[in-house]
Amino acid sequence: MANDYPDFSSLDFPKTLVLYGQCSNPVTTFKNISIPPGDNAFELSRNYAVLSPSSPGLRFSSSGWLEISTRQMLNVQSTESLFQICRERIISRTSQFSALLRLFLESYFDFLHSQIEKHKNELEPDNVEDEIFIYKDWIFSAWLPLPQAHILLPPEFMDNKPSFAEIDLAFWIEGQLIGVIIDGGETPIKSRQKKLDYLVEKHPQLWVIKVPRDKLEEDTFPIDLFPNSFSYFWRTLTLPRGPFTPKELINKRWKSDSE
Amino acid sequence: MSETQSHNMTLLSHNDLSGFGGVGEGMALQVTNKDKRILWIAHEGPPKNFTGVDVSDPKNTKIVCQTELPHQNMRSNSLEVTGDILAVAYQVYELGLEPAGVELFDISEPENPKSIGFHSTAGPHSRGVHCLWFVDGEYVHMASGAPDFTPRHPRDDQFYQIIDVRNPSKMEEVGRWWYPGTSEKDDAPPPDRINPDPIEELRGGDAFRLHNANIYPSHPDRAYLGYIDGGAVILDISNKSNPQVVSQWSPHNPYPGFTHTVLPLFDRGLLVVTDECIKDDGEDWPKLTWVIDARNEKNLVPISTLPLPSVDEFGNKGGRFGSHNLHENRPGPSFFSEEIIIGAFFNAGIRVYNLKNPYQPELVAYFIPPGPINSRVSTIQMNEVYVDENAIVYAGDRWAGGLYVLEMDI
Repeated sequence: MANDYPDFSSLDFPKTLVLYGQCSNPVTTFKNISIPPGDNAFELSRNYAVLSPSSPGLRFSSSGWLEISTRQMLNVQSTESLFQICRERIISRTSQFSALLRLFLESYFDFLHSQIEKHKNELEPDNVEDEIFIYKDWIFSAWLPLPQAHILLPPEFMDNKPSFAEIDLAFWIEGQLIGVIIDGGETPIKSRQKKLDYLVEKHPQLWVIKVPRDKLEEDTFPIDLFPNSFSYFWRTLTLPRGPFTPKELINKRWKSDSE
Repeated sequence: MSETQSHNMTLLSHNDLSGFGGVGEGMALQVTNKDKRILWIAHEGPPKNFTGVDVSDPKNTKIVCQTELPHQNMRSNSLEVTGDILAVAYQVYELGLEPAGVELFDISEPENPKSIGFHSTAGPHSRGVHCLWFVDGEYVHMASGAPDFTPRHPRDDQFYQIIDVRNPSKMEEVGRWWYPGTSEKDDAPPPDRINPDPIEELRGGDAFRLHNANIYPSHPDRAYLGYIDGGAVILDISNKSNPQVVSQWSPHNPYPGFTHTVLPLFDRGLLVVTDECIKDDGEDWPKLTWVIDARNEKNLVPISTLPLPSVDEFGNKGGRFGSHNLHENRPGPSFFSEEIIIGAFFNAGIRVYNLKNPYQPELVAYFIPPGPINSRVSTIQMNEVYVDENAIVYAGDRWAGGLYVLEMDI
């Protein structure tokens, strides 16, 4: 198979392609994507991510997923309003008819706010008055949810034809793919289950979390189902950054965070 | 049509119900305490009442029980099962006849159903119960006439009633609602008729009466009604003695009437609403299945319809062609999906849709067998469908074909 077919089971250049958002025809979408070559291929866009095992974690501060006009940026007055834009963009990438998924996402956003407040003492800069950031800015370091994720399966699954496993939501956190499946009690559809089972069996970095409906209805984010590093998303970073840091600044000042 | 047409569906078995293959609108699955799986089927018309079919092996189904109606001037047509209790509807063909109402049976021994209660709704202006819903073991929700109800129009006799059946020997009506203007006591004016048939035809097509009422234990304060020419109605039944209208939606006039089923997809904020085809040869086309945006339940917005084959072809094959019953995601040993919708479409067979994108529903499977022998029409007339938790599809022909057991490959 050509090097432009991301295959997470490849021994040479394993890559995971995640399409996310409102995607009615993933095969067509895939045909229009140019996959970066090489063993450390990494790309994040508004509707897909290409991930290698060494790719940095996807956060709200990661470049590529959020498109915002200059006019909108000029109107941003606070960390809260910028994060609200992020929140709205993620929600807009889910179907209006996916109430459980939206409930999960809203619960996640609320969790992030409460987590930041809860750890304010740890997150506040040593010299509050001199620093350019405030503790609330750390929220952009939280893990970026990829809702309505379609994950490309290896070519041998379906005779070299592209095929996708569906999960409700994906996170990429420092070399690990977390797949969230919201269990609304639906009877599994054979074809979908087959693809999902294959993904779970074959993907070397995948950790699946099933969130039952009644967990969502408790009105708190089910953090107990997630790994510890999920909660403390700031602890591998030295400084927070927003979603629009210029690339030059990333390369010079924050390169060490992605290594 | 002499050959089966199918896509992604396979016939596992066929049972002609001992030659009484007219299947009504009631199919429900019982799993007994000995782990037998019995499908209970209400017959469309006399002489049979209901039949129990052992479907434990879906490839080799066997009748375990088949019962007779008390007389030939009535039908059951509708039934439901919760646990080991079977609720059967009785509707008579002439006003005032008996028995009309609902009977409960203990089916813990499926071979020997035992009557444990009867609630009569017979009356001078009543035909009894057309359709009932019983999924929580406590209340039967039904479309019925009543001894104390006089409709302005004879075909508007059956309205929404809630019956407390927790004591089967002493069932009690606890609530009712009818379309405003249909009772002679109403201040509201009578509703405008849609394509009226002669008034003396009791089984005429136009009516402002209830067909299906769907109420789910997950949302017990809401009733979803298919009110024939009154369209779809959502009621607040948090106070069962005083149901209140939340909203209504009707496409009728210009559409030709007969809203049958309102299936809520709660996690998606959608409704799937069927209009029943009631005439042969495409005469009342189009009888559609609508997808409604119900995220704001007070403002229902139609966003699509399930695609059907052409009326030029299917309207001329014989028999009815169009929408009717759906698999309703009922509690119990039942398939549950808010994306996969399975329906019975008369001579268009059983059809399976993917509603993942509700703006563009997609047909993903269908099964159209040949017309059964001894039927009054030449085509299959798939009338009712039920899908179990293993995704086995049970489908019934309206006139003679009996039970078709199918498997989906989707």
